[in-house]
Amino acid sequence: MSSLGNLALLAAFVVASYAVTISIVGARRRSTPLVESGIGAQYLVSALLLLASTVLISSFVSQDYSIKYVTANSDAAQPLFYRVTAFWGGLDGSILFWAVLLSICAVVAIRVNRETQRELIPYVVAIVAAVEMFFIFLMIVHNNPFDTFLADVPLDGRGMNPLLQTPLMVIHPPALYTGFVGMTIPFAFGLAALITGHLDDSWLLAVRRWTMIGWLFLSFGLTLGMIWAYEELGWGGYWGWDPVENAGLLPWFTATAFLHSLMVQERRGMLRVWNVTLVILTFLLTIFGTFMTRSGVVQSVHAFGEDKELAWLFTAFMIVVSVISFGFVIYRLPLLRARHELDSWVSKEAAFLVNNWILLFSAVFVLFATLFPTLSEAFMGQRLTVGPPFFNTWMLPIGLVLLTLTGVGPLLAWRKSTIINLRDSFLFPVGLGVVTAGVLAVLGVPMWASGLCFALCAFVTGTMAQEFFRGARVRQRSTGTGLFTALVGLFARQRRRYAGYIVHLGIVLMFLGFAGEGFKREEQVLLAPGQNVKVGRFEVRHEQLAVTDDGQKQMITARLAVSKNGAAMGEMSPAKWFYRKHESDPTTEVAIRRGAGEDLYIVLAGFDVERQSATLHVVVNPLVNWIWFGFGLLACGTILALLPEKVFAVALARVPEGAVTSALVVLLLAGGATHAHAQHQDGPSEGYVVPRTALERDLQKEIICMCRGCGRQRLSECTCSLADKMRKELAGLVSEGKTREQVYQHFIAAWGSQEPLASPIDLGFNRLAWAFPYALGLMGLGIATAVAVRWSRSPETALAAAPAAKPIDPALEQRLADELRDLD
Amino acid sequence: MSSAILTDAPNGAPAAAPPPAAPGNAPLADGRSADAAQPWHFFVVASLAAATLAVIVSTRTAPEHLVMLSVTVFASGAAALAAYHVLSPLVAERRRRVFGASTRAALLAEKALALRTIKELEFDRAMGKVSEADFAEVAERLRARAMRVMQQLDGEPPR
Repeated sequence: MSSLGNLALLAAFVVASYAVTISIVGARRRSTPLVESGIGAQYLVSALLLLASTVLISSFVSQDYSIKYVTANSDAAQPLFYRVTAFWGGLDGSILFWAVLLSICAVVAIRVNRETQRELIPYVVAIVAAVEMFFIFLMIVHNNPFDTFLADVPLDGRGMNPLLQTPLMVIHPPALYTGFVGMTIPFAFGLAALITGHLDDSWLLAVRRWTMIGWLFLSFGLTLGMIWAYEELGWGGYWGWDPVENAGLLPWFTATAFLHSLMVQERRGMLRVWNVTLVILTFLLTIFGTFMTRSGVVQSVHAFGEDKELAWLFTAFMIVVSVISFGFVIYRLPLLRARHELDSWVSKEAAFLVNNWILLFSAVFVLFATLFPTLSEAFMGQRLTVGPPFFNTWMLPIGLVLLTLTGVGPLLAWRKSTIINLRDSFLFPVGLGVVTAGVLAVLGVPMWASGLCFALCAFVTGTMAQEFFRGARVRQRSTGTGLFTALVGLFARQRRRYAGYIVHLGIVLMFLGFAGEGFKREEQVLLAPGQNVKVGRFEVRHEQLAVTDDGQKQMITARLAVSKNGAAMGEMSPAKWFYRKHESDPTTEVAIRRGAGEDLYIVLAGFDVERQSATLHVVVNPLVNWIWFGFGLLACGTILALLPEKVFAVALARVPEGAVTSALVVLLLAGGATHAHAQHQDGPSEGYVVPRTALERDLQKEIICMCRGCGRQRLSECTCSLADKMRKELAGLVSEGKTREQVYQHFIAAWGSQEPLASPIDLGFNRLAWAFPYALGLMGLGIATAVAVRWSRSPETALAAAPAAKPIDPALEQRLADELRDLD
Repeated sequence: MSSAILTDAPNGAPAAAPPPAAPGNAPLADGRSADAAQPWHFFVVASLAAATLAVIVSTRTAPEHLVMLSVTVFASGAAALAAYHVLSPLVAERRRRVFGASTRAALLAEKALALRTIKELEFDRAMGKVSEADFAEVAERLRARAMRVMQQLDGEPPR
């Protein structure tokens, strides 16, 4: 089987190189047969990669341990489902998976656009085939998933990492990869437009849809990653600013910026260079994310390991892509001039400009902070950690500003908002936000940052409600239908705008969930049977420890009785599982009791079977489920925007007014929380040291576990044996009366660097990490201001507006009027 | 899409009118009838036959092996069909279509976009998000663009 897989890969590489060559020659000669042959070659690459994939999956299913990749990622005890999904569980297979997904997306994009984008399609084929060639080349020369043992074929495999044997990790990589490869299609169309010089707005038509698809999958992948971290890693949080999480976030920032700025190009003919640049940057960041995960440049719980050769190959590829892409941007600058000027700073386009600046700032800041430990090691020879405290210092205010803009943007008019516009538009949303802030202040909710976040959520919700209401009233007046029918009609006729507002509401829900973090409560306790602990309104009583075995693993389970406000809620059972062949890496099974208001989250951090005692990490997480609901709404909005217009036409034609109301009620009532088991791979923990003072508790959050297997979790969160040891060490230092600085210095001396600290000390070279965001923000602000001032001073260019055609033909004008009326 | 039909400059070439299609027997781009046997029919039948044969002669009888065997055979069939699509344009008779010309599909998409944009603009005006002067200027340009595309669809030269 491996020979067939190798043959398919080699053939795919040859055919992809043929597709590149024949498509470019065909486009240059304007030859239909050559171009169509190139398109056929793209189909063939896709089919060959599919063949290679089926061969690899077949090898997993048939347990062909002569293939090294199969041996490394499966064993006989592994369930069939996880044997199939092991296809993308390791490095080599994930590259094949990346390539096959890209080829499938390319085939779909080419089929959909081959008639409407005929000038661009040959170059699109060539560019996508060139990217495929890179990934196939990687497999052929460096990461071949079909490599076989020459002798001593093992009788059984080593088995897939237990951490990955969960349904979430089955869906998470395909979603994220689809998001990544989805961004290759806009890049291909953008670069093709640059190459051909067809830089009118037509290329945006194809690109917008694909960017939205890629963005949706990226959002899905990131949310699944959050759920996975929350349910599987067992530290009570969902986002740890891990380098691999950040790798998925970087293109999400730039793609979000692009989805907003392309509206400015469509409507006002501005930001043309910027949009092409964003498309290129987004693609480069997807490649960079893949590079970070696979090269070992950064340390992460998700990374595949260190591979310098692979790092060089990726670096060379990114340099080539950057030089070619930005070379064409510079070459085509004369065709990319803005058609209009910025008339006012109080306008929608100015709001989009600010939104883009902040999103790009976020991307560059996260990129810099992620790479800072690597830079520090390269320049200063000192490894350090840039952890959640550092990221949160900056990203918290940035997030709040973005949330504000989510509400401000829709209220502003294009070109210029008058004072009357502003008064009419802002009165209700701002009023709602201020009233919310006042109520929260009276209730004693701290305003920074949760209170402010809630008030801003109210402001944005007020904006959206007002927009829906006013839009429906306008439509009601023009069509004479009922309010609810007019509301549905908004989606039919102004789909992008109102679906976008649904996405904004999803973002509001997610921010509600983020704000809940401010009210999180947690306790770490050692309990003997019969003892209990109270956290918030919950009381947890330890009953007993149970030791069981299901043949695949041994399970240590704590039986806990839980009550809320004195009312019994039943039993919860956090556990540790010891898989065969992975006994030294037990997984933690978190017990979660979900609720719309708060989650009760319990981790079995340690145990003593003889004494039947259990060390528990009990967390109450308020509002956390609103993050997942928010994503659901965000996905619904994006899908609504992607649906073809015909769907709404049918709905409007057939759905009676009463049914619309009923459907809305059903939708509001639908939904519910799910329960999931969780796993976290860590070293065996014998006992958990509970902090006794406020300083010790703070320091447990400021010092990270150095086991390298937990993704740089803080001592208060990690449950591995090294974390236990470090907590004991910390408790000893605090009991000796050491100050915070002395504790820092102790750990720096013990580990030879600042790596155990969650944030770098603001001194020497590290000052760069703290100064960089200020410098970047000021520089970005300066550039954005300079560009805007230049726009506002430049005279209307020749491209501003083609001379309007003289009245052509009354009959034609009448037909146009009729067709416009029919659109209602 | 041809740039000619998307820029505001009125230099788009008229599109060739599509050949008339009989109901239920729409012609393909190369003139063949959609009801006639197509190349992909052959590849699907051949893949089915090959998969059946492979399942019969396979020594492994577990369902998952047989499913994967069949999927692999179908992937090979898809590769063979794609190879046909690589080679056939090079040897087939030259199509009538000229590469680079505006297509009817592109023109229809352009028209739909222009009409939708006009409606969005009207909606913005009704919502008070665009001034009357701005509306008049942009609407005039969009209407001119829509009428040019309609003329092209009618096969008339743009004025």
